Amino acid sequence: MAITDTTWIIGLGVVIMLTLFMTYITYKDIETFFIFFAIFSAFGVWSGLLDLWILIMNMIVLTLILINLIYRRKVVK
Amino acid sequence: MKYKKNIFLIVLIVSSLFLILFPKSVIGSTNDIDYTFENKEYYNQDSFEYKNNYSNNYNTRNITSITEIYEASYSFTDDAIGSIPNGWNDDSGFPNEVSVIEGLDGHNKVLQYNDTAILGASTFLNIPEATNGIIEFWVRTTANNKFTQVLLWDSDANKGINIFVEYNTGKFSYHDGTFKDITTHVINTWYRIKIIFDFTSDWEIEINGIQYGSFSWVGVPVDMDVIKIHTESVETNFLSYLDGVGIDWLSNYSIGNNLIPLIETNTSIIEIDKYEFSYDSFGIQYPVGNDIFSGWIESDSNDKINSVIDTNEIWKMRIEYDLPIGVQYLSLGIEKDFDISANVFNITAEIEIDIFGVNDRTWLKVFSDSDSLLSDIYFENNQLKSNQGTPILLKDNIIVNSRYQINIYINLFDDISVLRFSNSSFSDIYIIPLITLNQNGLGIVEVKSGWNEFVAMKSYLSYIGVYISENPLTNEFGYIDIKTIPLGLWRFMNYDLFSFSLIGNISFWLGTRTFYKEPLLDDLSYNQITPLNYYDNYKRISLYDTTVFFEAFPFILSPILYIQFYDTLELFNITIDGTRLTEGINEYELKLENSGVNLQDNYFYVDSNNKLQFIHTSDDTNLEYIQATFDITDKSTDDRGISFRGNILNKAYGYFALNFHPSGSNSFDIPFIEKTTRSLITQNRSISDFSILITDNDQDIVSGITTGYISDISLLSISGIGVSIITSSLLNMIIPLMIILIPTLLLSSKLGKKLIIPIFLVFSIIITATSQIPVWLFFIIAYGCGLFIMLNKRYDD
Repeated sequence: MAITDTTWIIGLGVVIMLTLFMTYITYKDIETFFIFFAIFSAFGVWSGLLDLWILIMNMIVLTLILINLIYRRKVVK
Repeated sequence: MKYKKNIFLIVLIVSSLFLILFPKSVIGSTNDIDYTFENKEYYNQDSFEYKNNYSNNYNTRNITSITEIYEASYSFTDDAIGSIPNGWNDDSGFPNEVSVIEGLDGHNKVLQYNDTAILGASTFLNIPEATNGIIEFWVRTTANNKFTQVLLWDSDANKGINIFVEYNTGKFSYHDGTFKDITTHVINTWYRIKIIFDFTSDWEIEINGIQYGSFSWVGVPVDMDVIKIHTESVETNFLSYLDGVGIDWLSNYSIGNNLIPLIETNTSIIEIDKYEFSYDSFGIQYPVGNDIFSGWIESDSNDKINSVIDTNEIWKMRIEYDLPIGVQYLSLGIEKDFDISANVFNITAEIEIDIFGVNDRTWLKVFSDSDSLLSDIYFENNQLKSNQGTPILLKDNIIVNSRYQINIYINLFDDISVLRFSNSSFSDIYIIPLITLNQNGLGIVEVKSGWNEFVAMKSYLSYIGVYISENPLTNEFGYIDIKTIPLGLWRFMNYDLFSFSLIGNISFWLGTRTFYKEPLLDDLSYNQITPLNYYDNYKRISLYDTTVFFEAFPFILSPILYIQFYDTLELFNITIDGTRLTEGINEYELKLENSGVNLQDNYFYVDSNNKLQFIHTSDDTNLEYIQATFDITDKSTDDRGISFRGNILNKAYGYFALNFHPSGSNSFDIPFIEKTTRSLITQNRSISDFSILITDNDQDIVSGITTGYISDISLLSISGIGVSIITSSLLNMIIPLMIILIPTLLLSSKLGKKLIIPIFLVFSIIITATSQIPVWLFFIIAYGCGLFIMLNKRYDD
């Protein structure tokens, strides 16, 4: 639970910065971005910088990516 | 790109190291107080026992259940549950019932009167006639305005003493032709009644130690010979209870015996075998079908030590029959070794003499393992004798074919009390309910009683607030013994409150466990031996003085604290505060409170991860709570923030409550596990104390167990509170992230980016296993990494 608005904004900034960096040094695509964003926002929620709903939304996005991946594999086969 | 990545890494490492090394500078706090807890210590108000475990260096808890036996002429302890007590007569009107039940509210084995219909539940007991005497008993009822009648009666004249418990609502009354109130009465409460009567003059009554009367009789009784208890004939559906009936003109009872409960702990009872045998000129005879009883051996006087003697205390009981052979006696009998762990025990033997032969003796002897005689009692020529011939004073001579119960009380050490109870052995320990515990926990608090009006209170403390410079006076796992020596009359009243504090301006001596008043610390100049008014029970000792006595001996193993009282001592609950004080930090006191809870199922304790865990069990519709309060008045300043981790699982509600200077309060929900476990509360006022309150919120929850914890409590004194929150949280996050990211990036720069995620995952496992991050966070990392590997595979495909 974030304590103040300032905390929330700065927390989000730190998480996005870490996400962009990890995306930059791995695979520069939107799926990779969301994966790292979910991981680092989980850290943000745990430390009290971010609210839980950000993490929940990220998990939904990850699940959509997973479904998309599975679907695409079936098409390739 | 590689160059840029290295720059980023260096900046990350340097800034993180700066945060770790100088957090106060970054956060802005100048006097943080972090609260840590000692491992494996339990905090509650229950009667429990700490045992210091030297080998493992932590305390373990050993809850000991306690049964209180009010010994009297009729204690009902030997009567079967559901039965009418031996000697008592049931004249209840059907279907009302009278029977012995297992116990009630600390009283073991009590007689229950179950009044379910008109005519009432009733018993009477025929007793030897007496024109004067004292009768004592415990009584209790469950319903308002439904009386229970106690009649002490002369059955010939049909007159006597007629007492009513709860005749009018909330009253003890008596009847001498008209009803008159004696004093107030509260239902569901045990009352100890003492009736002193003399049929040539008057009678008086003592209720819980307070005397009333004198009063007059119903009619003109001559001598008392019946005790009758009768519940109201008109009112129904209530219960009454009777326990510990003592009649002073019976040989097995002395006035006051039923006042002090015998304490029977479940760890100290040693049941001595019950057996029967007879002895005649042909030797020992056993009942038909029985051989000698298990563990017993036949012996004679030339073969006293014929068992393996263990290094533990072993005591030998022997029943002997002495045959006079000329001027010598040949002792024959049976014996058995008892491994008695308690220091005090007693033995009961029932002996029936068929015929007294000339100079025949029947002995009951107890030997120590070194064969020294601890007790020698024998029957001879219609007399009971001891000490090699000294007759024991009895009212009457021994009569043949009568059964006599002999209790032998053996006190092995001078400082141990004598406790009396048939067929059992007792330890000397009575464990005092603790009210306040120190940060490091208290050890055993014991009360010993009975010997030369000596009362000892004994506390095993890890620490008390005694230190000289930086050296603690007490050893980490040493002992503090507290002994009180009342010089006046002392009474041992159950539930009377008596409090004192170790943190008090009280006189004491300090010594080791081995030697009373260790010479080097004797006669501390700043602590004169002065009377302590125990009603003025909270005084603070200033033991910050440095003295020559301590400088040379900064550490003393196992010290003892003696406290001497110079007044009447009435005690049962004892408050002992002991706080480990380290200069400048951790100066707080922890206080435990509760309401409406079963303390064995509701308590705080500290787990191996230094979390203050709590367990709360709701089991009724009343308000139930446990609360731990940290008093930090001394360290409180303005503009505080307080930070903690916490979560609560299941049903009850958890609050982290703050109190302020000036007065005011604020409370904060302890987060549920689904939310973040880190919270920081900012305040612009000085915090005087903070509490962790776990409650069922009155009657919302009628059953269920709630667990959870509070940990990492930090008190921050900061100017820019908003910035500090962020830095504090970032600091919290950055350490595990560093552990994951830095090795990952370094290794991947050498091994290629395909291995980034596996390395990332490996280090995530490491920090999860080392409790740096919670499992739910690891799950999300693992989920993300799994997806990433699938994506990676897609590229490879």
